[in-house]
Amino acid sequence: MKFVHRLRLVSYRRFTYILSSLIIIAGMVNIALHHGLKMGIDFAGGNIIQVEIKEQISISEVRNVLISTGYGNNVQRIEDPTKRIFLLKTRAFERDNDKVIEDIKNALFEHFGREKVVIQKVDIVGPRISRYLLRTSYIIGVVALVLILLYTSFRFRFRFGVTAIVALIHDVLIVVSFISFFGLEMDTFILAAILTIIGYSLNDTIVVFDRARENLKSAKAYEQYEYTMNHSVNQSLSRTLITSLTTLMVIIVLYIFGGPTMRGFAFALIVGVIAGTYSSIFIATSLVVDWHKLKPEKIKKV
Amino acid sequence: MSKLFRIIIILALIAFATWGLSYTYLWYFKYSDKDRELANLTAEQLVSYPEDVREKIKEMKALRSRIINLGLDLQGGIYMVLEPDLEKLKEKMGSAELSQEDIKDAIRRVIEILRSRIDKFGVSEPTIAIQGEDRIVVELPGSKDPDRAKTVVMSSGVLEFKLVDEETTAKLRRDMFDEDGNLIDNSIIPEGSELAYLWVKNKYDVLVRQRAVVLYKDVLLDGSYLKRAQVQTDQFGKPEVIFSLSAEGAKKFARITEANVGKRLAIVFDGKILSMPVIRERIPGGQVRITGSFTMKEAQDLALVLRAGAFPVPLQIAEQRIIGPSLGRDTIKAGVKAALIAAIAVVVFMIIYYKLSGIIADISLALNMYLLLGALAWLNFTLTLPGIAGMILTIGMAVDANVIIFERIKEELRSGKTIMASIQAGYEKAFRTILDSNMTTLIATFVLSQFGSGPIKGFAVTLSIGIVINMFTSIFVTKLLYFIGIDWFKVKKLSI
Repeated sequence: MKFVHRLRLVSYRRFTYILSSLIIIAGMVNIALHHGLKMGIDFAGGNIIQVEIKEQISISEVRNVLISTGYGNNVQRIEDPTKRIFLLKTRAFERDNDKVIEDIKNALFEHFGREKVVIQKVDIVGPRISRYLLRTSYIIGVVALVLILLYTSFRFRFRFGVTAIVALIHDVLIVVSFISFFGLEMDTFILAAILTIIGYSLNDTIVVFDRARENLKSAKAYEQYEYTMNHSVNQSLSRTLITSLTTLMVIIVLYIFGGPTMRGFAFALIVGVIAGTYSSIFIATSLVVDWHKLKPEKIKKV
Repeated sequence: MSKLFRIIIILALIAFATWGLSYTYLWYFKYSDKDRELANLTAEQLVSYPEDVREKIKEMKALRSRIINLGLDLQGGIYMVLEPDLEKLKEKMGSAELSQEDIKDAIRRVIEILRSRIDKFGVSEPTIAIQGEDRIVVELPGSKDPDRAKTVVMSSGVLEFKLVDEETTAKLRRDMFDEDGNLIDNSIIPEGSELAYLWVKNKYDVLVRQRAVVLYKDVLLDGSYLKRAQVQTDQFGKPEVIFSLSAEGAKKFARITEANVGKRLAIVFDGKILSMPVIRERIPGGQVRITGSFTMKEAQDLALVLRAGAFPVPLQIAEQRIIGPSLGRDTIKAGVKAALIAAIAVVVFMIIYYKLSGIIADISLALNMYLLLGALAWLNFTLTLPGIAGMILTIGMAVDANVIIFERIKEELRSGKTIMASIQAGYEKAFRTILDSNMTTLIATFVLSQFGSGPIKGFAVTLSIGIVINMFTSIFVTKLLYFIGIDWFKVKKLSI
């Protein structure tokens, strides 16, 4: 990939700053309009029955059964060409969620006949647990960020550490925006995906900054700061692209073949890897360059 | 480090991983379902088997503790978080405030009873643990009939004998009940009596309230006088539960039956009337039989619950995940398929892009996955779908270190260095980058692994172990392969 050495990637930064800002602002507005991210059962609590009905029936028939129990009308069909699999959801009650499930199950048995109803999965998350999970998630997120911040500021010069974190927050915000655009529900899987992206995004940025650190050895390199940074991005560009490509390949495979449970997780990872790659090429180094223009970095002896 | 020494280290690791994985291989591929079932037998059930079978059972149990187990989501099963119903405990203790000691005591009793029930029920690798202050986590992987297991775990286990209030029962009329079968006006029930329902199976095999009966509130006898409970079949082949009362219970029961000949005695379990036989004569000897609308299995479960005793406090389900066995199988298939396709895609890509060096990276990738599985086997790890996702992600990210090295080597070659010097410089310069970039992912996954006991932990653990092993294979192993190529096969031109 020799041709890439000529790309003046850093000079596109006006454009990339605007692009990123637009996506993130749109995402945040969208989240605000929907009163926050849509929370899945893990964080909002609730009851879910996943059931296969072995008969040619429509979703409205299943919905009517749920309505007859008095627990609402939230029924979804899982994409599956051969089977009729439905998700029946209710909100979480303070107590006796177990009874809610029993009632719905019995209503299904009575309506369709016991042998035609296969209960595949039952989830109950009571209100205390969902509050607990939500709280733990915040703690986990904050702890991860603090540790990573500590590590990067220990390993790199202050400016690089700060910009790496900004790029990372940028990536997470983009992922969160896309989650809201596509109406996905936040659950523990997506939380895991986001934390993985935090690790991955930094990984990408660090490889570029490692090059920059190596290149910033002479006074001349500091004089031509923008050129040096741009050169560093270019030097690590093929690595960045290839790794993103192989990682993307496996996540896309996971998205397509991993089954419905993995879909949201894989989706968040796909967006995160793309955002991480993009930000390490266009955002992180660009920010360092602008910072240098505002307040030139002192030459460090190596 | 000499090549020979490197080879020895690698071979030793492969041998070690193979040793660890051999048990897993035996378990899943050499033994039949029937053999594996043996490991589920409980100590109690063990007694009824002959000596040689017992040896085999022990062997299977030992084997299972050394393999990669499948998580709930992959083999089906139950995960439950239970909370004591403290309001009910207060009522029972008759105090407005509960001391820490009361709660702790109740929890301890509950866990004892749970353990006894689950042990008798027989599932593979059950877990019962306290989470936080007063939450109890129960995990029952691999139960074939999760619904049944749940009934056994959750049944409050309260058995009571009460007399039927015939007078009031006779007054009940259909129009006194609403659509749901609840009494509209409770004033008809006199002081000291209560409404209960007789439960029977309908044609869908669903237990439903058949009719309302008024009982006297007085508990004449309860499950605490119970000594033994077992299942028999009556002359029509219908299952019934026979239990023996303690000496005191037997005396009490004899008195009760003597005083109430001709009346109906309701046998109430978990608040449901199972049956209400007419007392024909005084029953001495303390042998009581319960018939009802149940199958053989249900009768066995009832006996089991009766033997283990009642919970001191009712439990509430705070969280529950039940996964049917068929869904688990589908999930495994999906996970394995995704992993294979992902691996093939990456392997092919690396060969196309890096040619012979790509093959070197692929060998290190294969070794990476093998050692990862070996490590999981040694840890007696429970594999979940997120765990498989962690592995798949490892496949994608594992080549990263090699990509960094190869790109460096290419650069060095372009600057005119010899093959040997380029390789040396490539590895040297790439090392720090690889270390730094992997550290951040490790920090993130480490924090993630502290997230409770759920499936997320499985993801974090596989990914972290994968990364650590990856640093070894992608640096140590590939370098050796290059040197072997150059020194032993006199490779003159680098295929990269």
